[in-house]
Amino acid sequence: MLSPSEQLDSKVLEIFDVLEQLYEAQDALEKLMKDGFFNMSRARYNLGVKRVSADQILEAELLASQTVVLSEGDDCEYRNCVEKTSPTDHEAQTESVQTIPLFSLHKVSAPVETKAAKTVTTNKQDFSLRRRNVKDKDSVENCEDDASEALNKLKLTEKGEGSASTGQSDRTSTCDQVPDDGDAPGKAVKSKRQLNPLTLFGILVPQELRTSQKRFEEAVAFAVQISNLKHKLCHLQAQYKKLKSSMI
Amino acid sequence: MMPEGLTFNINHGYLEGLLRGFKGGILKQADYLNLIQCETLDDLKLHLQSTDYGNFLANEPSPLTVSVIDDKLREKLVIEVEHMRNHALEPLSTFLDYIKYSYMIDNVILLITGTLHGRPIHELLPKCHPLGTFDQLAAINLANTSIMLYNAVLVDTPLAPYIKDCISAEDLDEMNVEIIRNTLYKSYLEDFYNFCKKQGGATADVMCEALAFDADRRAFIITINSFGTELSKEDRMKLYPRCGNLYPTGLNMLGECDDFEQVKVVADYYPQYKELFDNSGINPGDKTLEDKFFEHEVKLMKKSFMQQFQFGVFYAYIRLKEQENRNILWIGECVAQRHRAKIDSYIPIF
Repeated sequence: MLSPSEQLDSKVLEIFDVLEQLYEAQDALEKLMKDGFFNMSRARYNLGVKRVSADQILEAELLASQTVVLSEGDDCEYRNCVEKTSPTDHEAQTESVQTIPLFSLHKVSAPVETKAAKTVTTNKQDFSLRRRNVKDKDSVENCEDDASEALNKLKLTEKGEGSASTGQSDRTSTCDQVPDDGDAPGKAVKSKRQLNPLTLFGILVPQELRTSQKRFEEAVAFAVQISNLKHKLCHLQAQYKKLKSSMI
Repeated sequence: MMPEGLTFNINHGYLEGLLRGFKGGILKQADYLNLIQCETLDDLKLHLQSTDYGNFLANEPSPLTVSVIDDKLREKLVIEVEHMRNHALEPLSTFLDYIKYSYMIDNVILLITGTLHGRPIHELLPKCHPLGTFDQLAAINLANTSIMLYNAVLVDTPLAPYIKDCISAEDLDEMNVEIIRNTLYKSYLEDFYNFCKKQGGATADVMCEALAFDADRRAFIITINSFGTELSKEDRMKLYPRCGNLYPTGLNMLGECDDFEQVKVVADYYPQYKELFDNSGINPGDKTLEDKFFEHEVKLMKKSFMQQFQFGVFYAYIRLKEQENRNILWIGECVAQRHRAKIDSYIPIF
């Protein structure tokens, strides 16, 4: 059994160890973030400023590719780091051990298709009957009125080419399908949740953008590690104070 | 003296003279050395005042951003190009229109992508390149498939003949949009190449070499960027423009490549590309392949100014100004991020 002063010393050493790990993790995080933004700038240099910007970000809800999970359990090593105001408080003596939630990173496994997306898929085969917004049937009738107005504004000319003649029959059916201005045309497509945000910038993206994505993914892991280390540090500091106050 | 030397200046002399004057305003190496010493974007603005750009950022509020600088740089180029286009006669006017078609393609794809991602059209239209605007652009959000894109938007535009190779009834998603982008550009490039070839003379000499290089570069970049994606080899082959030096053997070999090393083997058959691949790398001190391609393009564009009485100088000037814009924006990004390690990775022009 260690004497109180030896326990204090070992606590201090533990604190310094954790501090060192924390600083290293923070350095690594800073380097990764800097690298990530730098590679993104490089991709912007290759593709153009407008092709790698906030305009490409999906307006609808994005599904996270990784989630942070709080883990709680009896096997958790660390105690609650809530500090007490008075060390002689009786509650501190009778306080039961409480576990601290620790953060862990979990990768989301597979994309989930929403109902709207499924309906779009089934209607895909029959082009003439396809609707852009299948949820609300009334909106389809409203769409037709808006479609005729929208098409009046467009100059649709007949051409003698084969492709245009095919287009003519398609044009008739598409008149029934043009939505109102409130709906973005890709909404039905957009409802498919996508896990790889790199595709927001196109399929054939430069290597720098892929590298940038990797750096940010690594940075997320380090961010979680840093929060765990800070939690641990907080807990060690509380233990140190408790030990010190018990010596007095 | 060549025949066009006798008659070229009648219709195009003023514009060529004007263009060569504009060329004199392109930033020199000394200007770049000043720019890389800037600590903030306001310093950059101050240094650019002593160049041909003058007070182009004077009315912009602080703090400056790289996006604002990009918009103002583009505005200056647009004014110059529009002035030349407005005063151009045939066939130079058609030639300048061909240059503008590439911006139209970029705008169409930008709007389709933005609309797919839920952005309203009124937010996206100001982001379009002014050189590529056309009346039907605002109707892009009505297109759900490439057939609708053709019928409702592109049918009356100069891009209509270019989309016929990629019309389908499939919904527009990221993959289809990428295929449409590259197919449009492929058809446009081949059409532009044929137009320049028909012009003959020095214009054909200069432009065919430039466009062939552009086609080959696109083939290499598409191949390299497609590794690890869902784009199949067959679909990839359809995106290669056929007006380059790689057509047909090189393109067939590129179509079978599975990794970067195999692409390098293909490039080894062509001396001008072997040199670019050999001198590039992914290590910290190396230049990337895209940089080597940009460097080669700058070399070709500078060479085109050696010949007179041909339209290639107009194309070359626009490409050199775009490179200059890229350089300034790259320096701006490094300054804004305080990441000065690779601030001198720009490509000097003169």
